[in-house]
Amino acid sequence: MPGDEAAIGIRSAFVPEFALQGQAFSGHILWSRSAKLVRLTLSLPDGISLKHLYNVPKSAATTQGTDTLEVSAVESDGYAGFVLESRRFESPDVTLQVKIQLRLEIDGASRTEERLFSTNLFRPSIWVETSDRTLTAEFVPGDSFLRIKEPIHITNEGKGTALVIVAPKGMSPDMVTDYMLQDDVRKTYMRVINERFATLETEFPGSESFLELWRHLFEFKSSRLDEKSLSQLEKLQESSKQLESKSPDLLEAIGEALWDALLAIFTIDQRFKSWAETMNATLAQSVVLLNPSTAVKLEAGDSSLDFDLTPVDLLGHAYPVIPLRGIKVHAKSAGTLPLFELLTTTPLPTEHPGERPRRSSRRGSN
Amino acid sequence: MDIDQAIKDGLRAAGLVRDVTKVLGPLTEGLQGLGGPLESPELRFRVPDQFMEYSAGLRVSYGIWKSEKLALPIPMPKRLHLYSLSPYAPLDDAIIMSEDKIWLDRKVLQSAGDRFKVDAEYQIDGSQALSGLVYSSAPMEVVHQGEDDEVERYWLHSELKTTKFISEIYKSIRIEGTDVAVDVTLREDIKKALSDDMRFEIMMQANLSSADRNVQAKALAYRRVHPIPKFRGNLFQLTHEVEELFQPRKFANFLETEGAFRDTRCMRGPSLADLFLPMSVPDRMTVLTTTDLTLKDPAREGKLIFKKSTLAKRLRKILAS
Repeated sequence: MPGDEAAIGIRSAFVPEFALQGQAFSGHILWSRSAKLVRLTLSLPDGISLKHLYNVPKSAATTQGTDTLEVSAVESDGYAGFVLESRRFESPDVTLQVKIQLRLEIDGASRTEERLFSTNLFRPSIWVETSDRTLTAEFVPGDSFLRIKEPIHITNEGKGTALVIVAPKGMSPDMVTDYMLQDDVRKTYMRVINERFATLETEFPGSESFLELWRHLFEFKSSRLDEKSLSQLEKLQESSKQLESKSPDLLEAIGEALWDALLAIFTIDQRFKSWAETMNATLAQSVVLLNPSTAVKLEAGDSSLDFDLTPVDLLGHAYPVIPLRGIKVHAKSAGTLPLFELLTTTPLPTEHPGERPRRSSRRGSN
Repeated sequence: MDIDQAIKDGLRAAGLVRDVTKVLGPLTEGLQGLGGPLESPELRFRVPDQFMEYSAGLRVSYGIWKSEKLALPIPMPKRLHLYSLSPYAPLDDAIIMSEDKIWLDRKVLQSAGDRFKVDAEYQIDGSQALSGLVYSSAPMEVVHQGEDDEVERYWLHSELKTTKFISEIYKSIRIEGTDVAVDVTLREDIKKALSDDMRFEIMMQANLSSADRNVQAKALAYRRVHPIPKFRGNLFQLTHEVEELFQPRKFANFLETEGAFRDTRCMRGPSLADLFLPMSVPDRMTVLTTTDLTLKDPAREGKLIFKKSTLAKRLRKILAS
C-alpha cells in the first residue's frame, strides 16, 4: 500500500445523480484498506430500497428501522458495494438524498466521514386532453386516409420517454384494421424486405433465425401490439446485442434493407410522409406511439369511439391505462382513420377559451 | 430492508466463481507446467458475449520434452495464441489443435527462445458466470435539458459482487461491455437542416412516382417546364453520408469517456421506432465501455459523454452541402 493511503478515509464513494423511477442503480464506497472499519451506515430515503449488498458478511449487517443499514465488517478490506432500487412515485420528478457515513479507526484514532448524494428520479407522465369537442375527419386531396384537423392533445409532462400503445376498445374486428397492411403499400414493403433478407441469409450464414425474428415482427399486425409483441421486441434487442460481436455488419445491412423498403413505399405514396411527420413530432416530445398504423374504418357521419391508452416506460413498465371514452368523430366521408392521426403532441391551443380542454387526472403512480 | 435478500446476489456470485475457476485452475496449472511461474497474468471478461480472455507471460523449459511434440494439458479454449517476445511476433505454427488436445511444436518454439506470451479465449457457457460476478449499471435515459445542451452525460458504474475470486487468483480483472443505450434522436435537427430546395425535390420525387395519376401528371407537367431540379445535390449521396455518421466506427468520434471507463465500442441498436418507422437514422446507439476492477478498486465510476451538438452540426453540414 502507498504510504499516503493511511492518511485518508473515504477513497471513493458513488451514488448516481439521476435514474429512471423504478430503475436499479449501483453505488459503492471505498476506503483506505489499512484503516479498520468501525461502522458503515447507509441511510436511504423513503422510496429507495436496498436491493443488493456486496462484500458484506451476513453477520455484520443490521438494520435500524426501515431505512438505515449498519455494517460492522466487510469481507475484504476497504470496500462495500450496493445496488439500490427506487419505486415509482406519485410525482414524475423527485430528488432524494442518500447518506453514507463511515466510521474508521486509523492509527488508533477514530474518525468519521460523511457523504451526501442527491439523486433525481424521473419518469414519463402522460396527460391526455379529455374535452367533449367533436373531431372532424375528412379526406385531404392526395391522401388515401382520413385526417383530423385538430387531433386530441397528448403531452408527456415527465422527463422520461413514454412509449404509448393505443388500443381500440369494444369495436368489431372488421372495424379495426392495419393501415400498413393495406393494399399495395404493405405488399411492396414486404417484397423489398423479403428480397433483401434472402440475400442477407446467404451473405451471413447462421443469421436465419435472427432474420426470421425481424420478418416476423414486420408481419405482425401492429393493431395487435401487446405484451407478446413487446417481449418479441425484447428478444430481438437481446439477440441483436449478441449478434453484434459476431457479425457487426449484419445489423447495418438490415438497417439498409429497411431503408430501401421505406424508399420503395415512399415513392409510391405519400401517406408515409405524414406518418413520418407525426412520428418525428411525437419523438421530439418523448412520446413514441408504438402502434401508429392501427386504423379504424369509419362510415360517413358521427361515431363515438373508445380507446385504451397504455403508457410504457423504457424499463418496459406499463403505467395504468388511460381510458379515452366516447371520442366523438364526425367523418365527412367513409374511410380509414389511422391512429397516428388521432393524437398530436403539438402544444394546446390557447385561442379557444370555450373549448378549454380538461385533462385527465394524473396517471402513472404505482 | 431485507438483508438476507440483499446479500443473496453476492453469495450467488461466490458460487459462480467456481465456474470460472474450473477453467482457470487447470489453465494456469497447465501453463506453469511448461517451465515455471506465469508473469503478469491478465484476465478480461467480455460480458455481453460471455467470453473470458486470459493472457500471461510464459516460460518454457525444453528439458522436460520427451519428443518433438508436447501435449498442453489445459481446458480446450475457443482460441489460443502464442507470441514470441523478441521480436514480438505470432507463433501460430507452434500450436496444433486437434479435436480434444493441444500440441506444441518444439522446433517452432525453440527457434523463438524460451519466453512467450500466451493468449487464451474461453466462452463460459451455460451459466451467466461472467455477468454474475460483476454488477454494472448506467442510466436508461438522460434528462434532456433543452436544445442548447452541448453534450449528454451518462454515468457508468461497475462493481465486483464478490472479491474472493479476485484475491485468490488475480489481481486485476478487465470488464468489457458495460453498455449504455445512447439517445440519438436527431430527427428534429435533420428536419431543420433540410433546405427548402431539398424538401421540394424530395416532394417532386415522390409525386413523380405517385400512385395517384393526377398528382403524377401535375409533377410531370412541372418537370417539363422546369427541367433543372431546384436542388442540385445528390439526394442518395446525402442519405448515404448521413447514414455513415451512425456507423459504429464513425459514431465513436462523437463519444468520450471520463473517469475509470474507456474504449467505447458502439453498435447501431434496432430501436423501437426503427421497427415501425425504418428511418435511416437510429434513435438509439448502444455503447459498450471497458473498465478495470482490481482488489484495490473493486468498484469504479465514470462518465460517457455524447457530443450531441457536434453530431448535429455535422449533420447540418452534410445536409447544407
